[in-house]
Amino acid sequence: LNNNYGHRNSQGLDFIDTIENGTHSAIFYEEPEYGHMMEYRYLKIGLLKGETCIYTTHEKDDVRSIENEMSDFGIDVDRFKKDHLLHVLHITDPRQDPEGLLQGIKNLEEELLSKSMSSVRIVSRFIRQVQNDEEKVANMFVERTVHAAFEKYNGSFMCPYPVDDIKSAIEGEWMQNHLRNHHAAIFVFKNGKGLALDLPK
Amino acid sequence: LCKHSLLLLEDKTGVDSQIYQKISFSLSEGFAVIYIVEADPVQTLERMIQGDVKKAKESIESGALTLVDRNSFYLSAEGRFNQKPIESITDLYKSLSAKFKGVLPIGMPLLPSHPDMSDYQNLMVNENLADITLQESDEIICCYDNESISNMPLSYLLYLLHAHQYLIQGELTRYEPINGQAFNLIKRGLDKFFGEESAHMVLRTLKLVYHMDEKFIISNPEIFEDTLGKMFKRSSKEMLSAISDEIKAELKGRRRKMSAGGTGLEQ
Repeated sequence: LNNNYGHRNSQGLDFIDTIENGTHSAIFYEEPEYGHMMEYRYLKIGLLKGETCIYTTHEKDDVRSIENEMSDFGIDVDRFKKDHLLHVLHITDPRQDPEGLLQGIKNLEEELLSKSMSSVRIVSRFIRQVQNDEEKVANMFVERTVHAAFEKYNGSFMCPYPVDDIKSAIEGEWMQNHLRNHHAAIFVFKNGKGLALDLPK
Repeated sequence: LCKHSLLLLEDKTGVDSQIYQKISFSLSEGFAVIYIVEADPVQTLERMIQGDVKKAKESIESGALTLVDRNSFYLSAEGRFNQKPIESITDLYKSLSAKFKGVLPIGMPLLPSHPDMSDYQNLMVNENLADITLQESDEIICCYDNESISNMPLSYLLYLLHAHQYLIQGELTRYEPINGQAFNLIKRGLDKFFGEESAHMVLRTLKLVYHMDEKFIISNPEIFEDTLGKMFKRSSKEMLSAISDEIKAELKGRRRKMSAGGTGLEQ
Protein backbone atom coordinates (compact mmCIF):
# COMPACT_ATOMS: atom_id res chain seq x y z
CA LEU A 1 0.00 0.00 0.00
CA ASN A 2 1.48 3.31 -0.92
CA ASN A 3 0.75 6.86 0.01
CA ASN A 4 -1.73 7.27 -2.83
CA TYR A 5 -4.30 5.77 -0.50
CA GLY A 6 -4.00 8.63 1.94
CA HIS A 7 -4.71 12.28 1.40
CA ARG A 8 -1.96 14.80 0.92
CA ASN A 9 -1.63 15.89 4.52
CA SER A 10 -4.52 14.38 6.36
CA GLN A 11 -5.15 11.82 9.02
CA GLY A 12 -5.90 9.38 6.23
CA LEU A 13 -4.87 5.79 5.86
CA ASP A 14 -1.32 6.31 7.05
CA PHE A 15 -3.11 6.42 10.42
CA ILE A 16 -2.80 2.60 10.32
CA ASP A 17 0.93 2.93 10.87
CA THR A 18 0.49 4.92 14.05
CA ILE A 19 -2.20 2.91 15.85
CA GLU A 20 -1.02 2.51 19.41
CA ASN A 21 -0.95 -0.61 21.50
CA GLY A 22 -4.22 -0.96 23.41
CA THR A 23 -6.40 0.37 20.58
CA HIS A 24 -9.65 -1.29 19.60
CA SER A 25 -10.32 -0.07 16.08
CA ALA A 26 -12.97 -0.68 13.43
CA ILE A 27 -12.25 -0.47 9.73
CA PHE A 28 -15.14 0.05 7.31
CA TYR A 29 -14.32 -0.46 3.64
CA GLU A 30 -16.34 -0.34 0.44
CA GLU A 31 -13.86 -2.38 -1.64
CA PRO A 32 -12.58 -5.65 -0.11
CA GLU A 33 -9.29 -5.25 -1.99
CA TYR A 34 -8.50 -2.00 -0.18
CA GLY A 35 -9.79 -3.37 3.10
CA HIS A 36 -7.50 -6.41 2.97
CA MET A 37 -4.53 -4.22 2.07
CA MET A 38 -5.16 -2.15 5.18
CA GLU A 39 -5.49 -5.26 7.37
CA TYR A 40 -2.24 -6.72 6.04
CA ARG A 41 -0.45 -3.41 6.43
CA TYR A 42 -1.62 -3.27 10.02
CA LEU A 43 -0.36 -6.82 10.69
CA LYS A 44 2.92 -6.30 8.86
CA ILE A 45 3.76 -3.36 11.09
CA GLY A 46 3.01 -5.47 14.16
CA LEU A 47 5.12 -8.38 12.88
CA LEU A 48 8.06 -6.10 12.22
CA LYS A 49 7.73 -4.89 15.82
CA GLY A 50 7.89 -8.48 17.06
CA GLU A 51 4.22 -8.63 18.07
CA THR A 52 2.15 -11.80 17.80
CA CYS A 53 -0.33 -11.21 14.96
CA ILE A 54 -3.57 -13.10 14.48
CA TYR A 55 -5.87 -13.00 11.46
CA THR A 56 -9.11 -14.94 11.60
CA THR A 57 -11.44 -16.33 8.98
CA HIS A 58 -14.74 -18.19 9.18
CA GLU A 59 -13.87 -20.26 6.12
CA LYS A 60 -11.51 -23.17 6.85
CA ASP A 61 -10.51 -23.38 3.21
CA ASP A 62 -9.47 -19.73 3.10
CA VAL A 63 -6.46 -20.01 5.40
CA ARG A 64 -4.02 -20.91 2.64
CA SER A 65 -5.30 -18.29 0.19
CA ILE A 66 -5.09 -15.60 2.89
CA GLU A 67 -1.49 -16.57 3.59
CA ASN A 68 -0.76 -16.33 -0.12
CA GLU A 69 -2.31 -12.86 -0.25
CA MET A 70 -0.20 -11.84 2.71
CA SER A 71 2.91 -13.10 0.92
CA ASP A 72 1.93 -11.15 -2.18
CA PHE A 73 1.60 -8.11 0.04
CA GLY A 74 5.18 -8.52 1.19
CA ILE A 75 4.75 -10.36 4.47
CA ASP A 76 7.29 -13.16 4.98
CA VAL A 77 4.58 -15.61 6.02
CA ASP A 78 6.80 -18.69 6.34
CA ARG A 79 9.33 -16.91 8.53
CA PHE A 80 6.77 -15.34 10.83
CA LYS A 81 4.81 -18.58 11.14
CA LYS A 82 8.02 -20.42 11.99
CA ASP A 83 8.75 -17.80 14.65
CA HIS A 84 5.19 -18.32 16.01
CA LEU A 85 4.39 -14.65 15.42
CA LEU A 86 1.81 -15.03 12.63
CA HIS A 87 -1.36 -17.08 13.04
CA VAL A 88 -4.07 -17.29 10.39
CA LEU A 89 -6.86 -19.05 12.23
CA HIS A 90 -10.18 -20.56 11.34
CA ILE A 91 -12.77 -19.56 13.96
CA THR A 92 -16.39 -20.48 14.61
CA ASP A 93 -19.15 -17.92 14.98
CA PRO A 94 -19.82 -17.55 18.76
CA ARG A 95 -23.56 -17.80 18.13
CA GLN A 96 -22.96 -21.49 17.44
CA ASP A 97 -21.45 -22.05 20.86
CA PRO A 98 -23.69 -24.49 22.79
CA GLU A 99 -23.23 -22.33 25.91
CA GLY A 100 -24.62 -19.25 24.22
CA LEU A 101 -23.32 -16.09 22.56
CA LEU A 102 -21.68 -14.52 25.62
CA GLN A 103 -19.79 -17.70 26.50
CA GLY A 104 -18.97 -18.12 22.81
CA ILE A 105 -17.32 -14.70 22.82
CA LYS A 106 -15.36 -15.55 25.96
CA ASN A 107 -14.22 -18.86 24.51
CA LEU A 108 -13.05 -17.17 21.31
CA GLU A 109 -11.20 -14.52 23.27
CA GLU A 110 -9.44 -17.21 25.28
CA GLU A 111 -8.49 -19.06 22.13
CA LEU A 112 -6.99 -15.96 20.52
CA LEU A 113 -5.19 -14.72 23.60
CA SER A 114 -3.68 -18.17 24.26
CA LYS A 115 -1.46 -17.63 21.22
CA SER A 116 0.80 -15.21 23.03
CA MET A 117 1.84 -14.11 26.46
CA SER A 118 3.26 -10.88 25.06
CA SER A 119 1.77 -8.10 22.96
CA VAL A 120 -0.79 -9.27 20.44
CA ARG A 121 -2.31 -7.68 17.32
CA ILE A 122 -5.57 -9.16 16.06
CA VAL A 123 -7.67 -8.70 12.92
CA SER A 124 -10.96 -10.46 13.52
CA ARG A 125 -14.72 -10.24 13.29
CA PHE A 126 -16.39 -12.83 15.45
CA ILE A 127 -19.78 -12.78 13.69
CA ARG A 128 -19.40 -14.45 10.31
CA GLN A 129 -21.27 -11.85 8.29
CA VAL A 130 -23.22 -8.74 9.25
CA GLN A 131 -26.10 -8.18 6.87
CA ASN A 132 -29.51 -8.94 8.35
CA ASP A 133 -30.94 -7.54 11.60
CA GLU A 134 -30.21 -10.65 13.66
CA GLU A 135 -26.57 -10.59 12.58
CA LYS A 136 -26.30 -6.87 13.30
CA VAL A 137 -27.74 -7.25 16.80
CA ALA A 138 -25.32 -10.08 17.59
CA ASN A 139 -22.43 -8.12 16.12
CA MET A 140 -23.25 -5.03 18.18
CA PHE A 141 -23.36 -7.20 21.30
CA VAL A 142 -19.96 -8.68 20.47
CA GLU A 143 -18.42 -5.22 20.02
CA ARG A 144 -19.88 -3.93 23.27
CA THR A 145 -18.67 -7.02 25.13
CA VAL A 146 -15.15 -6.89 23.69
CA HIS A 147 -14.84 -3.14 24.21
CA ALA A 148 -16.13 -3.18 27.77
CA ALA A 149 -13.31 -5.44 28.90
CA PHE A 150 -10.64 -4.49 26.40
CA GLU A 151 -7.91 -4.30 29.05
CA LYS A 152 -7.65 -8.07 28.86
CA TYR A 153 -6.22 -7.75 25.34
CA ASN A 154 -2.58 -7.01 25.86
CA GLY A 155 -2.36 -5.36 22.47
CA SER A 156 -4.60 -4.04 19.74
CA PHE A 157 -7.61 -5.38 17.88
CA MET A 158 -8.94 -4.36 14.47
CA CYS A 159 -12.50 -5.29 13.48
CA PRO A 160 -13.00 -5.38 9.71
CA TYR A 161 -16.36 -4.49 8.13
CA PRO A 162 -17.09 -4.60 4.42
CA VAL A 163 -19.82 -2.02 3.76
CA ASP A 164 -21.63 -1.26 0.50
CA ASP A 165 -21.89 2.47 1.11
CA ILE A 166 -20.15 4.01 4.11
CA LYS A 167 -22.04 7.29 3.81
CA SER A 168 -25.39 5.50 4.16
CA ALA A 169 -24.14 3.11 6.81
CA ILE A 170 -23.11 5.91 9.14
CA GLU A 171 -26.76 6.93 9.50
CA GLY A 172 -27.78 3.77 11.31
CA GLU A 173 -27.82 2.39 14.84
CA TRP A 174 -25.26 -0.26 13.90
CA MET A 175 -22.60 2.29 13.02
CA GLN A 176 -23.52 4.40 16.04
CA ASN A 177 -22.89 1.35 18.26
CA HIS A 178 -19.50 0.78 16.64
CA LEU A 179 -18.40 4.41 16.90
CA ARG A 180 -19.20 4.30 20.59
CA ASN A 181 -17.47 0.97 21.19
CA HIS A 182 -14.10 1.44 19.51
CA HIS A 183 -11.13 3.71 20.16
CA ALA A 184 -10.68 4.51 16.48
CA ALA A 185 -12.66 4.26 13.26
CA ILE A 186 -11.14 4.00 9.80
CA PHE A 187 -13.22 4.54 6.67
CA VAL A 188 -11.89 3.41 3.30
CA PHE A 189 -13.93 4.60 0.34
CA LYS A 190 -14.35 3.04 -3.11
CA ASN A 191 -11.67 5.28 -4.56
CA GLY A 192 -9.12 3.91 -2.10
CA LYS A 193 -8.95 7.10 -0.10
CA GLY A 194 -9.74 7.12 3.57
CA LEU A 195 -10.30 8.89 6.80
CA ALA A 196 -9.39 7.87 10.33
CA LEU A 197 -10.94 9.19 13.52
CA ASP A 198 -9.81 8.90 17.12
CA LEU A 199 -12.82 8.18 19.32
CA PRO A 200 -13.26 8.81 23.04
CA LYS A 201 -11.31 6.45 25.30
CA LEU B 1 -34.13 45.85 13.35
CA CYS B 2 -30.92 45.99 15.34
CA LYS B 3 -27.96 45.16 13.16
CA HIS B 4 -24.83 43.65 14.65
CA SER B 5 -22.26 43.85 11.89
CA LEU B 6 -18.66 43.00 11.26
CA LEU B 7 -16.35 45.35 9.42
CA LEU B 8 -12.92 44.22 8.27
CA LEU B 9 -10.29 46.93 8.00
CA GLU B 10 -6.95 46.86 6.21
CA ASP B 11 -5.39 49.28 8.67
CA LYS B 12 -5.00 48.25 12.29
CA THR B 13 -5.02 51.87 13.51
CA GLY B 14 -8.72 51.88 12.66
CA VAL B 15 -8.55 55.14 10.69
CA ASP B 16 -11.00 54.71 7.84
CA SER B 17 -12.62 57.42 5.77
CA GLN B 18 -15.67 55.27 5.07
CA ILE B 19 -16.38 54.90 8.77
CA TYR B 20 -16.30 58.70 8.98
CA GLN B 21 -18.87 58.83 6.17
CA LYS B 22 -21.03 56.40 8.08
CA ILE B 23 -20.73 58.49 11.26
CA SER B 24 -21.60 61.67 9.39
CA PHE B 25 -24.62 60.02 7.79
CA SER B 26 -25.86 58.56 11.09
CA LEU B 27 -25.52 61.88 12.91
CA SER B 28 -27.45 63.64 10.16
CA GLU B 29 -30.22 61.04 10.51
CA GLY B 30 -30.62 61.79 14.20
CA PHE B 31 -28.60 58.92 15.64
CA ALA B 32 -26.05 59.16 18.43
CA VAL B 33 -22.64 57.62 17.77
CA ILE B 34 -20.24 56.12 20.31
CA TYR B 35 -16.91 55.76 18.53
CA ILE B 36 -14.32 53.42 20.11
CA VAL B 37 -12.00 52.69 17.20
CA GLU B 38 -9.03 55.03 17.45
CA ALA B 39 -6.65 55.71 20.32
CA ASP B 40 -6.46 59.46 20.86
CA PRO B 41 -9.82 61.34 20.94
CA VAL B 42 -8.20 64.76 20.32
CA GLN B 43 -6.40 63.60 17.21
CA THR B 44 -9.43 61.60 16.17
CA LEU B 45 -11.57 64.73 16.32
CA GLU B 46 -9.09 66.61 14.12
CA ARG B 47 -9.06 63.77 11.61
CA MET B 48 -12.87 63.66 11.59
CA ILE B 49 -13.17 67.38 10.96
CA GLN B 50 -10.64 67.13 8.13
CA GLY B 51 -12.54 64.13 6.86
CA ASP B 52 -16.25 63.85 6.26
CA VAL B 53 -17.51 64.54 9.80
CA LYS B 54 -17.61 68.33 9.39
CA LYS B 55 -19.93 68.79 12.36
CA ALA B 56 -17.95 66.53 14.68
CA LYS B 57 -17.19 69.27 17.21
CA GLU B 58 -20.82 70.44 17.38
CA SER B 59 -21.98 66.85 17.67
CA ILE B 60 -19.68 66.23 20.60
CA GLU B 61 -21.00 69.39 22.28
CA SER B 62 -24.61 68.31 21.73
CA GLY B 63 -23.83 64.83 23.06
CA ALA B 64 -24.60 63.11 19.75
CA LEU B 65 -20.99 62.02 19.19
CA THR B 66 -18.87 60.42 21.90
CA LEU B 67 -15.23 59.63 21.20
CA VAL B 68 -13.78 57.01 23.52
CA ASP B 69 -10.08 56.16 23.68
CA ARG B 70 -9.88 52.63 22.40
CA ASN B 71 -6.92 51.72 24.61
CA SER B 72 -8.50 52.91 27.84
CA PHE B 73 -11.80 51.27 26.89
CA TYR B 74 -10.41 47.82 26.23
CA LEU B 75 -7.52 47.94 28.73
CA SER B 76 -7.62 48.55 32.46
CA ALA B 77 -5.35 51.06 34.20
CA GLU B 78 -3.02 48.15 34.99
CA GLY B 79 -2.74 47.34 31.31
CA ARG B 80 -4.83 44.18 31.55
CA PHE B 81 -7.76 43.48 29.27
CA ASN B 82 -11.05 44.72 30.61
CA GLN B 83 -13.38 41.80 31.08
CA LYS B 84 -16.57 43.71 30.40
CA PRO B 85 -15.69 47.11 28.95
CA ILE B 86 -19.14 47.47 27.46
CA GLU B 87 -20.53 47.85 30.98
CA SER B 88 -18.60 51.11 31.32
CA ILE B 89 -20.80 52.76 28.68
CA THR B 90 -24.13 51.29 29.75
CA ASP B 91 -25.27 54.48 31.49
CA LEU B 92 -24.15 56.60 28.55
CA TYR B 93 -25.97 54.28 26.18
CA LYS B 94 -29.19 54.50 28.19
CA SER B 95 -29.13 58.30 28.28
CA LEU B 96 -28.42 58.49 24.55
CA SER B 97 -31.21 56.05 23.78
CA ALA B 98 -33.65 58.35 25.58
CA LYS B 99 -32.58 61.42 23.64
CA PHE B 100 -31.84 60.20 20.11
CA LYS B 101 -33.52 58.21 17.36
CA GLY B 102 -31.07 55.38 17.94
CA VAL B 103 -27.51 54.66 18.99
CA LEU B 104 -24.62 53.46 16.83
CA PRO B 105 -21.65 52.13 18.80
CA ILE B 106 -18.61 51.44 16.60
CA GLY B 107 -15.83 49.53 18.34
CA MET B 108 -12.57 47.89 17.41
CA PRO B 109 -11.57 45.30 20.01
CA LEU B 110 -7.98 45.48 21.04
CA LEU B 111 -5.96 42.29 21.00
CA PRO B 112 -2.37 41.71 22.04
CA SER B 113 0.02 40.47 19.39
CA HIS B 114 -0.14 36.96 20.85
CA PRO B 115 -3.59 36.69 22.41
CA ASP B 116 -4.54 33.65 24.41
CA MET B 117 -7.97 32.12 24.65
CA SER B 118 -8.98 34.10 27.74
CA ASP B 119 -8.64 37.32 25.71
CA TYR B 120 -10.99 35.89 23.14
CA GLN B 121 -13.38 34.77 25.84
CA ASN B 122 -13.52 38.38 27.04
CA LEU B 123 -14.31 39.48 23.53
CA MET B 124 -17.12 36.97 23.31
CA VAL B 125 -18.58 38.22 26.58
CA ASN B 126 -18.57 41.75 25.20
CA GLU B 127 -20.09 40.78 21.88
CA ASN B 128 -22.88 39.04 23.79
CA LEU B 129 -23.36 41.99 26.12
CA ALA B 130 -23.58 44.27 23.10
CA ASP B 131 -26.44 42.20 21.73
CA ILE B 132 -28.26 42.23 25.07
CA THR B 133 -27.82 45.97 25.55
CA LEU B 134 -28.89 47.13 22.11
CA GLN B 135 -32.43 48.04 21.20
CA GLU B 136 -34.17 47.30 17.94
CA SER B 137 -33.55 50.71 16.42
CA ASP B 138 -29.81 50.50 17.13
CA GLU B 139 -26.92 49.29 15.11
CA ILE B 140 -23.50 48.14 16.25
CA ILE B 141 -20.40 47.79 14.12
CA CYS B 142 -17.44 45.73 15.30
CA CYS B 143 -14.22 46.41 13.43
CA TYR B 144 -11.38 43.91 13.11
CA ASP B 145 -8.22 44.40 11.12
CA ASN B 146 -6.63 41.89 8.77
CA GLU B 147 -3.83 41.03 11.14
CA SER B 148 -6.19 40.24 14.03
CA ILE B 149 -8.30 38.03 11.79
CA SER B 150 -5.19 36.19 10.60
CA ASN B 151 -4.16 35.36 14.17
CA MET B 152 -7.56 34.24 15.40
CA PRO B 153 -8.18 30.67 16.55
CA LEU B 154 -10.88 28.72 14.76
CA SER B 155 -13.33 28.94 17.64
CA TYR B 156 -13.28 32.73 17.65
CA LEU B 157 -13.63 32.94 13.87
CA LEU B 158 -16.70 30.73 14.17
CA TYR B 159 -17.94 32.90 16.98
CA LEU B 160 -17.57 36.02 14.82
CA LEU B 161 -19.64 34.43 12.07
CA HIS B 162 -22.29 33.42 14.56
CA ALA B 163 -22.43 36.67 16.55
CA HIS B 164 -22.65 39.06 13.61
CA GLN B 165 -25.57 39.26 11.27
CA TYR B 166 -23.76 41.07 8.47
CA LEU B 167 -20.37 41.69 6.96
CA ILE B 168 -19.89 45.25 5.76
CA GLN B 169 -17.07 46.61 3.69
CA GLY B 170 -16.43 49.19 1.04
CA GLU B 171 -19.40 51.52 1.03
CA LEU B 172 -20.83 51.24 4.53
CA THR B 173 -24.36 51.29 3.21
CA ARG B 174 -23.90 47.77 1.88
CA TYR B 175 -24.41 44.76 4.14
CA GLU B 176 -24.05 41.09 3.32
CA PRO B 177 -25.55 38.41 5.61
CA ILE B 178 -22.92 36.15 7.19
CA ASN B 179 -24.91 34.71 10.06
CA GLY B 180 -25.51 31.05 9.22
CA GLN B 181 -22.44 30.63 7.06
CA ALA B 182 -20.24 28.98 9.68
CA PHE B 183 -21.43 25.40 9.26
CA ASN B 184 -21.02 25.43 5.48
CA LEU B 185 -17.50 26.78 5.85
CA ILE B 186 -16.63 24.04 8.34
CA LYS B 187 -17.89 21.44 5.85
CA ARG B 188 -15.96 23.02 3.02
CA GLY B 189 -12.76 23.15 5.09
CA LEU B 190 -13.03 19.50 6.13
CA ASP B 191 -13.74 18.29 2.60
CA LYS B 192 -10.82 20.28 1.24
CA PHE B 193 -8.46 18.92 3.85
CA PHE B 194 -9.55 15.28 4.02
CA GLY B 195 -11.21 14.82 0.64
CA GLU B 196 -14.77 14.65 -0.62
CA GLU B 197 -17.41 13.13 1.70
CA SER B 198 -15.12 13.51 4.71
CA ALA B 199 -17.09 16.37 6.24
CA HIS B 200 -20.23 14.22 6.28
CA MET B 201 -18.39 11.43 8.11
CA VAL B 202 -16.78 13.76 10.61
CA LEU B 203 -19.91 15.76 11.38
CA ARG B 204 -22.04 12.63 11.60
CA THR B 205 -19.55 11.12 14.05
CA LEU B 206 -19.64 14.29 16.12
CA LYS B 207 -23.40 13.94 16.32
CA LEU B 208 -23.52 10.20 17.02
CA VAL B 209 -20.68 10.01 19.51
CA TYR B 210 -20.49 13.48 21.05
CA HIS B 211 -24.12 14.62 20.54
CA MET B 212 -22.88 17.72 18.76
CA ASP B 213 -25.25 18.88 16.04
CA GLU B 214 -25.06 22.00 13.88
CA LYS B 215 -26.75 24.18 16.47
CA PHE B 216 -24.45 22.97 19.26
CA ILE B 217 -21.32 23.40 17.14
CA ILE B 218 -22.19 26.95 16.16
CA SER B 219 -23.15 27.90 19.71
CA ASN B 220 -20.14 26.21 21.33
CA PRO B 221 -17.21 26.78 18.98
CA GLU B 222 -14.59 26.19 21.68
CA ILE B 223 -15.96 22.74 22.53
CA PHE B 224 -16.17 21.96 18.82
CA GLU B 225 -12.55 22.98 18.23
CA ASP B 226 -11.38 20.98 21.24
CA THR B 227 -13.33 17.86 20.23
CA LEU B 228 -12.18 18.03 16.62
CA GLY B 229 -8.62 18.30 17.90
CA LYS B 230 -9.09 15.10 19.89
CA MET B 231 -10.63 13.27 16.94
CA PHE B 232 -7.64 14.06 14.77
CA LYS B 233 -4.82 14.00 17.26
CA ARG B 234 -2.17 13.40 14.65
CA SER B 235 -3.22 16.15 12.27
CA SER B 236 -5.34 18.44 14.39
CA LYS B 237 -3.21 21.56 13.97
CA GLU B 238 -3.17 21.38 10.18
CA MET B 239 -6.84 20.43 9.99
CA LEU B 240 -8.03 23.27 12.27
CA SER B 241 -5.89 25.66 10.24
CA ALA B 242 -7.52 24.40 7.06
CA ILE B 243 -10.99 25.27 8.39
CA SER B 244 -9.76 28.62 9.70
CA ASP B 245 -8.21 29.39 6.32
CA GLU B 246 -11.51 28.63 4.65
CA ILE B 247 -13.30 31.15 6.89
CA LYS B 248 -10.61 33.80 6.44
CA ALA B 249 -10.65 33.29 2.67
CA GLU B 250 -14.43 33.64 2.64
CA LEU B 251 -14.35 36.84 4.68
CA LYS B 252 -11.57 38.36 2.60
CA GLY B 253 -13.16 37.18 -0.64
CA ARG B 254 -16.45 38.78 0.23
CA ARG B 255 -14.72 41.97 1.19
CA ARG B 256 -13.01 42.17 -2.19
CA LYS B 257 -16.27 41.41 -3.94
CA MET B 258 -18.09 44.10 -2.03
CA SER B 259 -15.28 46.62 -2.44
CA ALA B 260 -15.64 46.06 -6.17
CA GLY B 261 -19.35 46.90 -5.93
CA GLY B 262 -20.49 43.29 -5.80
CA THR B 263 -23.62 41.63 -4.52
CA GLY B 264 -24.04 43.14 -1.07
CA LEU B 265 -27.55 43.82 0.08
CA GLU B 266 -28.72 47.41 0.12
CA GLN B 267 -30.06 48.34 3.55
